[in-house]
Formats: sequence, structure tokens, C-alpha cells
Amino acid sequence: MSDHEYGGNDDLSLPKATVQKIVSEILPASTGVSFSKEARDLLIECCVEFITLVSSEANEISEKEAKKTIACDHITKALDTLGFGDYVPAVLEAAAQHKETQRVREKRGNKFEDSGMTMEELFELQQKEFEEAKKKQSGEA
Amino acid sequence: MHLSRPTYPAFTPAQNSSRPIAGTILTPFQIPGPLHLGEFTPYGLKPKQRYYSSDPAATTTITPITNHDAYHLPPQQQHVQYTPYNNNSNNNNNNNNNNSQHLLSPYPHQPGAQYYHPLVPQHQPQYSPPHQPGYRPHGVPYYSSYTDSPTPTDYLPPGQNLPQQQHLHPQQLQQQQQPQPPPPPQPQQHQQSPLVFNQPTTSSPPNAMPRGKVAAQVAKEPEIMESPVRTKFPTARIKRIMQADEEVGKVAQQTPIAVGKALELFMVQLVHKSAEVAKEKNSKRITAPMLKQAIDSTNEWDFLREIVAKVTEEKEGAKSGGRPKAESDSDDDADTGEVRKKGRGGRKKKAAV
Repeated sequence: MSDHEYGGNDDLSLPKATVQKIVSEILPASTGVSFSKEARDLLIECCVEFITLVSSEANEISEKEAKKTIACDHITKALDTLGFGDYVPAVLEAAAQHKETQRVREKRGNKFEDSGMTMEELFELQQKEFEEAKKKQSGEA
Repeated sequence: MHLSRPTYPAFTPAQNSSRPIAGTILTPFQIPGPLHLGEFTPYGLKPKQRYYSSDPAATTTITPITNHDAYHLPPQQQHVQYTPYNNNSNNNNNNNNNNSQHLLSPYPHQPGAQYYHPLVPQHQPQYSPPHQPGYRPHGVPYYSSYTDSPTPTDYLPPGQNLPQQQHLHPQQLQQQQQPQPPPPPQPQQHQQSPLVFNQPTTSSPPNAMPRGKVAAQVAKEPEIMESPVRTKFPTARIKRIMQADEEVGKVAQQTPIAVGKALELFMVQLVHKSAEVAKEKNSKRITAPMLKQAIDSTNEWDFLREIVAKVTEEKEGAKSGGRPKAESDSDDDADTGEVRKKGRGGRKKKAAV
């Protein structure tokens, strides 16, 4: 159903630059340890395999629960089953943080709340502004 | 224009005479107070931000970051930087005394300070076999990464990077204890959770990442101590990879993020494990066979054995024999070939559909 999304090339692998960047974050240059190109490519394959593994496991779990959508919950359960239980807390935290940022983002749109004034205050201010503008206008006229 | 006439019929000539002056002078001075503070803006810009950005203090926005660059200077310089805090806390508050000394003292001999102490000079030799000068920094990654792991004992082992993180801890605590820190950058750091700013400095060179991005991530994940990784995988890509499996149907919005996080942790483990293998082999360069060995040695990574099976052991032997560069190059070719093959497979799938 989402087949039309496979438009780009290299779609089913991870971007090399990103992986390289993450690798160098794990092994900072100061360590003097570098990651060879072929090792990086292999690492990418492993990562893709990991995603596939986790998602198919999560898919099974979600099917067992008669859910149509794979939720975070299924991912953590899958991680547990696959022996990556120690990832679960961090994964949950990341998901929660994502949720949080999304909520904040939604809130951010409201200028009136951001102004920290009541609607009456804002209205007064608006009136004042209008008057200022009028004076200025008539002054120029 | 037509507004002014009907609404102000009462305007007298007297007022008119003063009008030009009023017109010019009014705007700067008679604007109500809150406007100067940037609080009024019901139209447009966010007031608080505007306030800070127009405020002289806003210059500090930049200073803390450059300041962090300074953390890359040799440890001594950092100590110099921190000494003033120490003095301050001594003067100001006796209660803080213990803490601040404990946290800030850069040198090892106080028992309490041990936790935060770099211990660099004494222990470095352990990680630098004399015959391999370039190998010296090798020990660092493990420890710098272990600092991220939850077990507190892992903080103890010495590493070159440790001083950075350690000194940042005291700084943070210091901020909590002392709301009015001497240097200007402090308030800004306080807002933006200094902890995370530090992380990029420890895990990657300062210029590796654009600052704006770092800041954005700071906002997103203030507390990630367990992973040195700041970069996030593209969630859309992860989702696509997940859904490449035909059985996988819908995926919740959070799911690719969770998977991305898991993937990140997985990568960290994998890279560290292979770095250990490389270390055992006295190599500075992690090659595919080393990755393979790391995978083979861990049970949970059974699922990768198939992928890794194509990496031959022979090359590994040849590599430890002598010319790692040339070998890895040839290895490279073989590997990319296979990768390409895989890519084609993927595309075929798409074409078929």
C-alpha cells in the first residue's frame, strides 16, 4: 500500500553519511580508532537487518494482540523477546520525549497564550496601539 | 488618513500645532512599558524571545557554545577556568563547600574527588603500548562510552575524554547551587541544560555538527547520558525499511522513533564490540572481519551471522600479517560489490510491484 514510497534509490538501506557520523560519535576521532569503509557498509546491512528483525517480531506480537498497527509497546516487547531487553528503558524514554516535543510544538502556535497577558489586556494594548498609529498617521498627513 | 478626521473632530489647532512633535517623539518614549520588555506583541513575534534577543544578555547565547569549545583545550586550562567557582562557593556558602570541592578539584589525591577525577597522567600508559605511539588514545572510546552505561563504576576508569564530562558535572551542580554564577554564559547554560551541550564535545569534534542542530537536540533530549550518539536516524527511512516487509502493515507514529533508538543502542554495542576486537588485534582500524568476529562472539547477534558470513576469515589473517591498508582496500571492493547486489535486489522488488 505504501509501495509508491519506494521512489528513491537506496531506499532500503540507511544513509551512509548518517551512519558514518554516528559511528564517529561512538568512536570520537580522539580515540584514533577508525572504521573502515567495508566495515561501515557491513554495519549498515546489520542495522537494516536489525530493523527488519525487530519489526517483524513486533508485527507478530501485534498480530497476536489483534492490532493492526505496530505500536511502541510491540517494539519493546519484541526487543525483550529478542534479547535486547536492556534497550527498552531508553527506547521508552526516547518515545516519551518525542511525544513531549510534539505536544510542545503544537502548543507553540498560540501567540496569545505566549504573550502572557489576558485577553482584556491584549485588547487594551491593541486599542492603545491603534491610537498611536492614528496619531502618527494624522501627524504625517 | 480619513480615520483621523472623523474620529478626532475635537482636535484643536493647538493640538495640531504640537502634532508633528508629538508624532515623532511619541513612538520612542510613550510606548507603554511592557512594549520595551517585549511583552505586548500580540501581533507576531514571541515576546519572550524578542526580549532576550534584544537584551544585552542575549550575547551570552553564543558565548556558552564557544565556551564549550574551550573544553577541548588541555585539561589544565579547564581547571583554571573552574577555580573561580571554587573560590566563590567557599566564600559564599559553607554548605556548598564539600560539594564544590569534591566536584571541582581536578586532581586526584582527595578521596572524595576520585569519582570525578580524570586520572589521565597515571593511567594513560596502560592504553599506550610503547611500540605503538599512535595507538595510545585507544582506550578512550570504551570508557567514554561506558560513562554512558548505567553502571556507575564505569565512570571510574580513566580516559582522556573523562575530564570533559566530569568537569561539566560539577559545573552543572554548581549552577544549581549558585544561581548567580560569575561568568555571563552561565544563565544561558542554565536554561538550556548544559549537560547535553557537553555531550557533543565529548563524543565528536566540535565542528562535526552544526550548532543549531545540537541545540535542537538539546531541547529534545535533555537527559541522555547513556548514549554518546547525537545524530538521529531518519525516521521516514526506518519506517520504510520496516514496511519493506510485506507483512508489516501500519506503524504508529512513535514506532519508528522507538526502533531508531533501539537501533542506535544496537549500533553503539556493535561498534564498541568490534572496537574491542580491533584493540585485541592492536589495530586502529576496524575492518569487516573484526565486525564479523564481534558479531560471532555475541549470542544475541545470531541473526547477523548470515550477513556476516560472506566476510572471509582469510583476509583477517592476512591483515594481522602486515599491510592493513591494501588489504582493507581490496576488502572494500568485494564488500561494496555485495552491497550493490543487495541494492539491486531491493529495486527489483520495487519494480515488480
